[in-house]
Amino acid sequence: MVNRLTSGILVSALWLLSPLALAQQPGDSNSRIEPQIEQSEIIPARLDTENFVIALRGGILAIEDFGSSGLGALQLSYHINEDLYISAEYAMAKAGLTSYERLSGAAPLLTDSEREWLYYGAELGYVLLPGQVYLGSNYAVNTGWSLFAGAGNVDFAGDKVFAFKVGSQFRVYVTDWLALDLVVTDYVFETTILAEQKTTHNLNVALGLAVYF
Amino acid sequence: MRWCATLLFFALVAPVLAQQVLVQKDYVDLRTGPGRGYPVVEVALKSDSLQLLMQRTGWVKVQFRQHQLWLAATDLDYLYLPGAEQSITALWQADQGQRHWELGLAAGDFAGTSYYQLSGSYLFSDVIAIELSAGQGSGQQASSQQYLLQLSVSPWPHWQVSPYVALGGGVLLTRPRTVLVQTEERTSPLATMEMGLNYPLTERAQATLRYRRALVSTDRDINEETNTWLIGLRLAF
Repeated sequence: MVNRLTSGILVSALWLLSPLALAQQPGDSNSRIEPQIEQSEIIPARLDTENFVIALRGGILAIEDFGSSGLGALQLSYHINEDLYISAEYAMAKAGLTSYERLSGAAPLLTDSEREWLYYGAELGYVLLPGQVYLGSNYAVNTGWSLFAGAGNVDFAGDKVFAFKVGSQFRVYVTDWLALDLVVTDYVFETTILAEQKTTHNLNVALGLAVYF
Repeated sequence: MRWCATLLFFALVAPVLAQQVLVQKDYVDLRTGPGRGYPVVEVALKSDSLQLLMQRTGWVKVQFRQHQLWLAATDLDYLYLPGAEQSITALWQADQGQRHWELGLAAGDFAGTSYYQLSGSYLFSDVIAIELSAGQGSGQQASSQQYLLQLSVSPWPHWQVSPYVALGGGVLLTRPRTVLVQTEERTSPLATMEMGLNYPLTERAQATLRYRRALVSTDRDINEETNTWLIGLRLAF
C-alpha cells in the first residue's frame, strides 16, 4: 500500500515536472554542447635591441700653439638606422706650454687649471663604407668606416667657446657587440688667448673600444 | 651549488627558449653583419627553421644551423611561428603599445648666436607632452645657457607633418666673453612660446623644426624678446 502510494507520488511528480524538463531542452534534440574555448594566439616576445654603443678612446690631441698632449674621451651613441647614428661626447686633455713660454722663460700665460682642455658636444655620423676586411685566408671581420660632424663647447684657458667637430672613424667588429675604433677628429674653434682672435684646428688621433648594448 | 645548477639550467635552456620560426618565402638572405653592405653568405630556404636572437636597427640576428647571421627586419613579414596564421611582423604590430619617453637634440640660432640643446620629454598621450631642455649658446660677445620646462600640445598627431605649440618658462644664464676681466654670470627668468613641426623619419625617429619666442625679464626697465630657430631630431623610447 505504502509502496503503491510512493510510486504514485513519484509518477505524478515526474508528470508535473516533465514540462519544465522539456522546456530546458532546445528544439533540436540532436544538438550537443559545444565547448566555448577561445583560441588564444601566441604573441612572440619582442626581441632585445642593441642600438646603443658606449665607446672609450685614448689618443693624442694637438692643441694649436700649445703642443700635443694625451686625450681621453667617452662617447655614447645611438644608431637610428644602419647608416645614421647620433653621439654625445665628453673629451678631456691638458695643454702643454707654448713655444713663447718655453723660449722666453717669462711667466706662464695660463694657470694649471686653465690648461685643462674640455670638450662636450653632440654629433651625427654616417656609416659610408660598411664591409669586411680579411685577416689571412681564414678570417673575415666586419668593419664600418663612417664620417661624422657635430658641435659642442670647448672649455679652455678660462673661456667657453663654441666648437665644431668633424672627422672619421674606422670600426672593426671583434664580435657582434665589441669593436675596436680608430678615430681621427678635427676640433675647430676660435680663441683669443694670444691677443688676436683666430680660428684654431686641433687634430686628434685616437684608438678606442666600443661596446654595443 | 644550487645557484650554479640554476645558471647551468638557464645556459642550456635559454637557447631553446629563443624564438623558433619558419621561413615562408622561397628564400631569405643571411648576411655577416647588420647592414646591406655586408656580404650574403647563406640563404634560408622555404620551411627552414631559424632562431631569432636580437635586433639592431633594421636587422635581426638569427641562429641558422651552426651560424649566427643577420637578416633584414623586413623579412620578418615572411617568418611564421610554427602553426601560426600571422607573420611575426603582424603579431608584433598587433601588440604594439605607445612609447612614452622622447630624447631630443637640436641645433640652430639663438638671438644671433650658435645654439644647441638637449631635451627629454614625457608623453602623457600622443597629443600632450612635457619637455625639459638644456641649451648652450655661444656668441662673439657672450655665452649663455638656458634651462626650460615646456608643455606642448600637438593637435594632429597622425598627420605626416605634425605641428605643435608649447608654452613654458625657465632661466637664462648669460656670461659676457672678455679676455682679461672676469665677469659675473647674469641669471634672468624667461617665459617661452614655441611652435614647431615634427616629421617622422623612421618608426622611432622624428625630424623637428622649432621656432621659439622668449620674453626675458632683465634687471633693467625693459624686457627683452629673443627668437630661437632650431632643427633637430627626436627619438622615442
